[in-house]
Amino acid sequence: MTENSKIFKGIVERRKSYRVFDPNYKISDEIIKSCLENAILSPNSSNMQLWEFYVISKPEDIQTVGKICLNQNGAKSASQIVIFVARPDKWKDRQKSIIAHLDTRYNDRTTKEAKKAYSYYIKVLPILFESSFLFIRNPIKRLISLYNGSKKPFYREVHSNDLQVVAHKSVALAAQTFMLSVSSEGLDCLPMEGLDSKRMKAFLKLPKGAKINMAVAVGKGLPEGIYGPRFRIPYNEVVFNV
Amino acid sequence: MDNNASIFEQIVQKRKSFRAFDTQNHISDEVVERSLERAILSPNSSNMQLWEFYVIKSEENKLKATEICYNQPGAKTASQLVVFVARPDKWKERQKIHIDNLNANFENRDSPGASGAYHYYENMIEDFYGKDAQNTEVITQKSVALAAQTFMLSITSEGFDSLPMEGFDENKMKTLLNLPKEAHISMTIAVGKGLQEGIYGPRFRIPFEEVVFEL
Repeated sequence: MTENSKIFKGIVERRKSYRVFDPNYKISDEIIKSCLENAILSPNSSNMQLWEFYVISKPEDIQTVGKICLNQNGAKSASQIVIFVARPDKWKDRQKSIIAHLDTRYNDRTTKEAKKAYSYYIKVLPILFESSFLFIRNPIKRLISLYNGSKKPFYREVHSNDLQVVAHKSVALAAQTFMLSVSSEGLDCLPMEGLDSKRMKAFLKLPKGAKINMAVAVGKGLPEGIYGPRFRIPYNEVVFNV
Repeated sequence: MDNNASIFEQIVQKRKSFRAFDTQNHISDEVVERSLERAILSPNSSNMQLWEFYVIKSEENKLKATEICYNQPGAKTASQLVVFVARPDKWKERQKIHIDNLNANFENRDSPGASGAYHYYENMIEDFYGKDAQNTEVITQKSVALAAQTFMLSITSEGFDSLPMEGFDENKMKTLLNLPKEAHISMTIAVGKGLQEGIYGPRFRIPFEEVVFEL
């Protein structure tokens, strides 16, 4: 095992979800910033980076967000709460940023390599994000959806759920980098999915198309914040060699 | 910044998606196993662990999986492919395992903390997993992605590289893995020793200030 691998193992093993934090311990802004800088280096779908991160640090805001997180103890005693948000609705903005980036990389759009990159972002992505039914994987389901869709707005939901899933997965990759980064700093966190997403969006002034992925409370965990020993389904019941 | 934090940052910086791997340099089974052992320690929704990981090692199945991944060069040259799967359909099995675990941990239902825990897994869990299939898909896919990121960072910490792929024929992948239609393929991760030619360009990130907001 490499030295880095041992250290990484230690970081993963020390991460536990704490339900209570030391209310007197304030994490510095610099640490939160460096954990988020790590988070945005996570891989993500088509490098579209359809994510946003809202850092809540004012005590009164933490209490408000704590209520939105259904009054979980972990939220109310947190030093900061970071809200991870998926922004599938921002795909056109991102497309523009990526094309601007490609313009800095390629002087000539007609070389083979440039053509490939541009056509992906200019031609393929709009199909993925705009087409109402391409994302439905099963062709028969697609036909049924089209048929149903002609009568009532049905297939659009299926479609938007798939886009939502794509964006949510990428945000979750970033969330995990963030949580491990917090653990590497000797600090603790609690990811929370049980929250009132409608109120959270209103609080963050987010449009309907934005999706709350999770809220991660951070702080110095207290021993009483661990409710029981770690429980995992045995390795052999979830990992299969084929 | 202490040592662990700076090493973690190095691991994060070093991780890049490689589109070509060295076919002569095989990743050992131990590296993949250790990385999956770490992956399953990731946090996940209600600790339901509705995830499964399929390690594709045999040449025959690798070839099939590569085709299913539209013959992407990263898949073709990978030393191994690991398929990350969400199993919302297994929620009742997991519920039973959790209740067995509570029975093992609490002397009886009046022990401190027991009633809340039993209520959660016996009654509330159905609201999250037994009702709205779309919502359940989102919840389980997020948890699987958390595990995927631990896995990829672990592979980097071991001195190897990875490529997460979401572009593949999901139905065919399910057939290859004998999975029911209720299972969802989250992503397929190719692992191996990355080659420089597998990096297509410099890393590009939307500037920090455009995605991070302080309230």
